[in-house]
Amino acid sequence: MSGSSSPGSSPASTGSDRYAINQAIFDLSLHPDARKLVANKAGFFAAYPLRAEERQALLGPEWKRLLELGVLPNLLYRYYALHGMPPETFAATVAAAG
Amino acid sequence: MAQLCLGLATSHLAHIVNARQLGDPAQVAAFDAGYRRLAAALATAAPDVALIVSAEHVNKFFIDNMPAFCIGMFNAFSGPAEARKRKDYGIPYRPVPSEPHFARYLVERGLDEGVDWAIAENWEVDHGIMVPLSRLDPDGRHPMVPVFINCAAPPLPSPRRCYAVGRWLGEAIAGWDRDKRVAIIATGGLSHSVGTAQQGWIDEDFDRRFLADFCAGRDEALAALSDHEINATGSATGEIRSWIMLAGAFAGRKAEQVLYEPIRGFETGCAQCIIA
Repeated sequence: MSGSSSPGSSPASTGSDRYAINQAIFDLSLHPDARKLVANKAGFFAAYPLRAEERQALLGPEWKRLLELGVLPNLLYRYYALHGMPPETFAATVAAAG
Repeated sequence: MAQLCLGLATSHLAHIVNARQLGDPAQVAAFDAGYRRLAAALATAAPDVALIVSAEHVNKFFIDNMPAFCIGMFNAFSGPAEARKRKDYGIPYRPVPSEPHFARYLVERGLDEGVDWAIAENWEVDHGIMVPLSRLDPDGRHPMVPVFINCAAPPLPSPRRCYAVGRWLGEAIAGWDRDKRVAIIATGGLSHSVGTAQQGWIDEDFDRRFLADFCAGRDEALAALSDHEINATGSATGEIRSWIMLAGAFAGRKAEQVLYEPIRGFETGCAQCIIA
């Protein structure tokens, strides 16, 4: 997969603070069955060395919190779209997020 | 010796090909007309090769290995990546001819002169390159060498650095010992946000000031922009780095503004310019 390590191949102690959570979303977004996998995203993300707060934010999803955790905005928007959310609702959803 | 024969700059959003209904019809028509002007300019200039400079949207370039600047060095590339996954993307997934000898020349000269290009010998490009090409050169008549600037994963190369690399490009093209005509196409911008709560907001004041400086050849004003100033106008406005690089290549030459439309439905300040 261009530009990405295998899922779960990086120990929790390596990589930057933002690497694992971005890798998880990046890998999901490139998967040919991404939309189906979103329905069972807990299973997909289980292989990634995520901190508890990262996993919680991904599974929520907690859109504003994901940005705070360092998810790249392009990836966040792609993750939003994978959930079948209309693009025009994104800004309001993030703004309303606690 | 080679000659820099044309500069084009255009917003690259995909709405123009797959979500046109979201934009005001008059503005969309103006955007279309602008693309026709730019395409005509490209056809008239008849470059032997063009550089197409763009941000990328975390489709190929990821933070495990993120260059500041990268050149594609291959016989051809394909895209957009989005159309491979989404059949109704609005433009076909297709190959585009490139020019590896020119790319290699730029890389080798750069390594010798302090511009340490990363190299991609395989690159599935995204909408940032393919949407403009769908309008400017749909038949793939002109070889294109893609150039990447990291605009999506901070820390980013500064506008001043992008301008300096642009100046270097202009000099490198002039120093290429081939009797070739070279164009540069910059894509991206202007003010917009993707993936943040600002999404949908357009900073018209910033866009108009930027365009005024760009068209007047006030390069120092462009190079002096800070990351903070740019980010305040939108999380994705940093794509204007490609415009700043283009300005550097033409070193103060004036440009013609073909389009500025803040298209609310497209969530972007849309702009196009020609440097002839």
